Amino acid sequence: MLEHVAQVGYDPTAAEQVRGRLAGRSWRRCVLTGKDRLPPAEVKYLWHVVTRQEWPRGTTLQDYVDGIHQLILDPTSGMFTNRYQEAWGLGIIRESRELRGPRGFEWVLVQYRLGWGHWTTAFQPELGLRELDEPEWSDIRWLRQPTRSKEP
Amino acid sequence: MVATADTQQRALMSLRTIELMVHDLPDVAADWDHLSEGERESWSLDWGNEMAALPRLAEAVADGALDPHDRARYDRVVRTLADAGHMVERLRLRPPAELIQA
Repeated sequence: MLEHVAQVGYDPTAAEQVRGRLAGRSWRRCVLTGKDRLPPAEVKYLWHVVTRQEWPRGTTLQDYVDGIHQLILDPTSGMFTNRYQEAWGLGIIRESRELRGPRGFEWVLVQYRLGWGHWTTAFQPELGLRELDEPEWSDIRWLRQPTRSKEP
Repeated sequence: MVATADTQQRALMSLRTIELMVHDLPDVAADWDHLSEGERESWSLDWGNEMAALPRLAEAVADGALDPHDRARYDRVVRTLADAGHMVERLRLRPPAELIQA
């Protein structure tokens, strides 16, 4: 199952509006406007890697996607089924380690939406594991706990 | 407590990204019913992560991490969030934590 989840990635046929948060950024030799629409992988990359600097400097879009792929397959990652605002998903969470950038956090969380069979996001939650205590997340059932590299 | 350079940098980064998301909120709310479920979930997750950063930002502000210009930006964000409660509730987004106005 994890091989499949790691392989599918973000939906390449979908598009999300860039909006003001990414407007003005240079991307693929263009300056983005708020009305532009990009594939989810690019929106997430530009927000979490480029703007928020959660990943190391110099991380490319391909590096970002490859890192998520490897994290999903990493046996130290935790795995849990969940509902995020009622929609069923599979979450994978691991310490950020080599993926942690200058403004990154301790954990990387990947959410795979069961209904569509694609990743929804991969980011470094400000709250770490406590992110999952927030009320938008429910019905969390751990299939495998994450392994910590050291005691907290 | 005096804010360190790293705390100041983190505070400025948080302020910037929270500001960007808050600025987009009315536009997103207007489009919400026409967005795909994927785009809603994606935006909602990013919104939640910004709201999670607010308490840490508020603490940094209380420690004097922002200069007067940036402090005024922070105050504007807080006021905007206070006025946006109905949108946050309608879209079932994570509400901002109780904000500390130092």
